[in-house]
Amino acid sequence: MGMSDFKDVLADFKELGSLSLKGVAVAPWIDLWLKMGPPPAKWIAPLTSLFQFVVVMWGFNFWSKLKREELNRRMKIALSMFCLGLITSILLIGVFTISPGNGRERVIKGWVIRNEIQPLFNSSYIPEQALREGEYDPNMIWTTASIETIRIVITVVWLATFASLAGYLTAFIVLHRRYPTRRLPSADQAHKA
Amino acid sequence: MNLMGAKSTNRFTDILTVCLLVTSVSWLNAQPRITSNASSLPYRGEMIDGQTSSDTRKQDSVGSLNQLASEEIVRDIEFLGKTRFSVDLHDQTYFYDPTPVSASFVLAKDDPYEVPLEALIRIKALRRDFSAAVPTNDFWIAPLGSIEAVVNACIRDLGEPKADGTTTDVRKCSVRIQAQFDKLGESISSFASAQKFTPSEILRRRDPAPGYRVQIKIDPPSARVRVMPLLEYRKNQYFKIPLTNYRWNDLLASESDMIGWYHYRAEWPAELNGLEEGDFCITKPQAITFKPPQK
Repeated sequence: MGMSDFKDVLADFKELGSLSLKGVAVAPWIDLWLKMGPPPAKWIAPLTSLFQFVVVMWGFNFWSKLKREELNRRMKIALSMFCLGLITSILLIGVFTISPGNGRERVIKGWVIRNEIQPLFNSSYIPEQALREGEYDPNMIWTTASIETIRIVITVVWLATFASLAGYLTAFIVLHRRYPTRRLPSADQAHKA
Repeated sequence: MNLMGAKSTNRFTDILTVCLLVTSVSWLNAQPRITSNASSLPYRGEMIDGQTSSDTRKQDSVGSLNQLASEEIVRDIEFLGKTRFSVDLHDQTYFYDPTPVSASFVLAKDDPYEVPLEALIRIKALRRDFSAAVPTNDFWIAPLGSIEAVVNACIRDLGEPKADGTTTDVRKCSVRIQAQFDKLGESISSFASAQKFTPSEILRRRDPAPGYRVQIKIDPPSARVRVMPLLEYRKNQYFKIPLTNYRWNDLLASESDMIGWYHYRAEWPAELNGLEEGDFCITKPQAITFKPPQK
């Protein structure tokens, strides 16, 4: 009992792995309500799930015959990429997006201010304030090209983050299907034997 | 909604005066038995002098409405007679606004002439703007003339009983007029392509965040309230844009979708302390009531 049961549950990776994969695929859809990710959520959520599904299929198809060491290495790389991607996503979303209010999609800012509006800004009047005064229309303050560039960067990083997570789980499942964990006999079983 | 200001009252008085004049002239000319189911111009009657009397009354209607439209674009350059076409040679852009004003701002509700009069006002405004912006180009002359011809034909036909006893449907007039405006739009697009102009709206793609539902009240409902995003107001002030070129949006006593900061201008009657300006911010669904300033 106790730790051995815990190990048994963890060792039952078939159920755990399946649940994890399903959970990871569903997780992006939560953003439809939370609106914490890059906008528009109604596109990004299904796109993220699709990306993860592609990564899982890729992993099962191409990684099934890899050696244990290679699978372990890929797990580490995927986990590292997930952590790095998560931090980068949080940073990018925090710096380059702004929330107009409750229940509203985040608005993506640009990084090149329009020539005609540049003269308005000074130390007491910043672009974010102008955004609030412009119906949260970023095209009134930044160039469209810069806004779209930021949008692409944030979206790619977001997709890569969740794809890494899917890759990590896939490598884990493939590893333990190919090299199943041997269950060591309990003390009682060993004594009887 | 009901906007009853001094301006609307004056406009209605003018329209009523014209209607009475036309009615009087028509009565004196043709001694018809005028039966009318509309509130404005007479358009039906028993002819004694056949076509001549009918043609005279039709021409009077056309002339009266054209004159009214001409007066409106002079009197109200900020709303009914606002700028609808302009060219920016520096940015190589052009601005074209063909959107009709709600006909309820033009004549009394259900008046059969509200659609053609609104179209005439647009035509007059466009002719003024084309002449000012592109005086050496004539791409607009023929299409605008076609629109005017259709509108004048509608005015003549409205209410005039057809051979089968029915009257011209205002909606059909509206469709025909819109078709002509679409052709004008195509002419403008061709001109712009030839001159390598781009629409000013495309250069600065507008994509405001979805607004919150705001209930607007004007108490008492005797002011014209207009708004614009505060950022646009700041730009106008900084670049010293003439007040007549400010692009205001009329705020009606109904629901609007708004978000962020706005600058408003409420034109109260003199007895309610006149003009008022200020800013307000929308961060959630709410109701806003505009009241006259206290002195």
